[in-house]
Formats: sequence, structure tokens, C-alpha cells
Amino acid sequence: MKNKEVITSFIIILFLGFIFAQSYAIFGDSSYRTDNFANCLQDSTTIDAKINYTENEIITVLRTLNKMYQEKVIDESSIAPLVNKLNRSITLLNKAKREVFEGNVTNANLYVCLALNLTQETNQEAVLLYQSSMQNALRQKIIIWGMAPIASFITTLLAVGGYKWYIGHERRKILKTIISRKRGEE
Amino acid sequence: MIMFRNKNEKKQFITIFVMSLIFYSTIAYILTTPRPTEQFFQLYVLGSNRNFANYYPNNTNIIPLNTTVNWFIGVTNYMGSAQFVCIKIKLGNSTTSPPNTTSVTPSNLPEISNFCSILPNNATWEFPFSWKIIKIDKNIDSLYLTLSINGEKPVKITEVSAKRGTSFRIIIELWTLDLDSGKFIFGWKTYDKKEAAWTQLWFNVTETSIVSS
Repeated sequence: MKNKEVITSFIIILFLGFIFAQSYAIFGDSSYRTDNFANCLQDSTTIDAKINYTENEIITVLRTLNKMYQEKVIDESSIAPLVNKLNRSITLLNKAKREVFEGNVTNANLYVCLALNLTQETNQEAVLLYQSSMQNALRQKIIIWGMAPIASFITTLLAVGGYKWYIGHERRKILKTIISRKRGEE
Repeated sequence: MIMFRNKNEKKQFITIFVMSLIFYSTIAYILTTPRPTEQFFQLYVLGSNRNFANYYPNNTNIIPLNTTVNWFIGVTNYMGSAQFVCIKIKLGNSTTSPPNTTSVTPSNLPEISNFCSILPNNATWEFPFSWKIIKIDKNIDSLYLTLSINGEKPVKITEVSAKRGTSFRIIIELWTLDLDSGKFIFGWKTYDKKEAAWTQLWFNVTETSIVSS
């Protein structure tokens, strides 16, 4: 009876763990901005401020990507397009800086807004990738940790059952020998 | 429902279960815990044929005026994470102090160009680095250079000169973005340590180059 209770509590704990993991993956980190290109172009903020803001956005994306590396949930093939986009943003930012240096404010504004738009798009994709990767990783972790008691239980059953069978088999062998000896004596 | 014939059998069952639970939990821990790996970068410079040769035109390190020198600079990221990398190009001579890898300090020479990119883990970024001497200015017996890099606007370097044009060096430094401070640092942070990578290539300029200009 007690064993039944232990097994039931195990299943409940596993189930609760799974629910917690799912809810964390869904509500964990979902804050990202959705500024758009047109707004950026009309925005009266200085070019330098826009460049700084874009650089910070690039750092934010990089942090999100590195969170995936830290958690070992990274999928190298899915990260490559995001890195390519970030590198395109960096190229655009460099162009914007050059235009600022040469005094072409309109061109600089265009380049910085393109860079910002691309970075924000990448940021959104990175957050989504992070969420789905975390969800998959947590599922995997739960499965691996959940398998430990199940595998232990199966191993125990096999070990105890196997031992019982072996003892029984040895006993039967000894009995057979004794019986055949007795018959021989008769 | 598990049936036990006696107390001994029950004890046996629990012991085996606990032992195998420890064993499988260890396996689960090993599988799910990220292991620390060695973190480093690889920085290299290749010659015009993308190999470790032919660094200078005509196989001599005396660079004539308006002659393009083609190199390839490469960086490989083994940091276990994506890295924002910047390669800073500086011009020095035999007396200027180079970067110091022990104290992890960059050289205080003027930066003539820089190249930045984001690199995923285990990725290599190789880019062409072509430069030529556009102009040589002479002051007593010191020569000053004006360089053009990758066809961009020429950069006049007034801070560094070389006596009779001997022993100029191009210093290539690796900088990375420190995500904690949001600033670029020379080298990189690995756990609590700081490391650095840099390389240099020497070249000479002769006064005959000025004549030819």
C-alpha cells in the first residue's frame, strides 16, 4: 500500500515539474520593443543617440544569444541567420558613422534607422528562438530526470526478479540432484 | 502492486532502488549540466595566396610606393558563446611599445583602421586586408607614411615615423565586447582571467620610394 503511495507521489511531482517548466518557458522573458522604420526616420532624436540605442540593441541580442549558449540549448543552424543579420546591422551602423563624419545627416539617419529596424527584428527573432529553445531544453531535462526513477524502478524489478529466479533455479537444481541421488541409492 | 514475502526482501528492494537511483541521477546530472570548456580565440594573418607565405610583393619586405600589399586576417572563436570581435590595426616602429599579453594592455599607438563582426561559437571570420603607401613624408631622416586601407580614404599617420624608413610594423590587435560593461576590451575575459591575442608584421620603406613619388 505504501509503495503505491510513493509511486503516485512521484508521478504527481513529475507532472507539477512539467507544468512549471511549461509556464516558465511561456511567460519567462517576453519583453521586446516593436519600433518601426518610419517612426525612426521621423524621430527628432540625434543621430548619435540613435546610434547608441542601436548599439545597445545589438548588445541585447548578443546577450540573448549567449543565454542560449550558457544554457547549452543553442541550435547552431538557427543562430547563423541571426548573426548574419546582426553583422548587416553593424555594417549599416558603420556606414551611418561615416556619413555623420562626412556631414551627410540625411544619409546617416537612413542608415541608422535601417540598422535599428534590422536589429529590432533580429531581437524579436532571438527572443522567440530563446523561448522555444528553453522550452525544448526544459522538456529534455524533465524527460532525462524523469527517466532516472523509472529506470531505477525497472532495474530494481529486474535485479530482484532475476535474483529470485536464480535462487529458485539453483534450489531446483540442488533438489533434482538430491532426488536423483536418493533414487540411485534405492 | 509489488508483493514482498518478508521484511528482508523489502529491504533488498529498497536498497537496490536507492543505489540505482543514485547511479541514474548521476548520469542525468552529467547529461544536463554544461561542462566548462577552455575559452580562447585564434588570430592569424595570411599572405596574398591565403597561406602562410607571400606576405610582401616581390618577396621583399621593402614596400614601394603605391604597391598594394594583400593580406588576410582571420579570427576563430572558441569562447563557447557568440562574440562581438573588433580587429584594430595600428602602425608602430622598432621603438614603440607593442601590446603586452602578460598585463593584457594594448599598445598606445594610433589606430589606423578597425574591422568588427559578431562571431558565433566555433566560427572563423576571415577578411581581406589590403593596404598601400600613398605618400611618404620626410622630416630630417625620419619617414612618415600615408596609408590607404582596403581602398578607403588615405590616413596620414603623424604620430609614428621610422629612421630612414626601416622597421615599421603593422600591429593587429584583437578586441572583444565585454557584455558586463558594454565596452570593448583588449583581448577577452575567460572566467575570471583576462587573455589577449595580437600579431605584427614588419616592413621597410626606402628613401628611393620618395623619389619615385
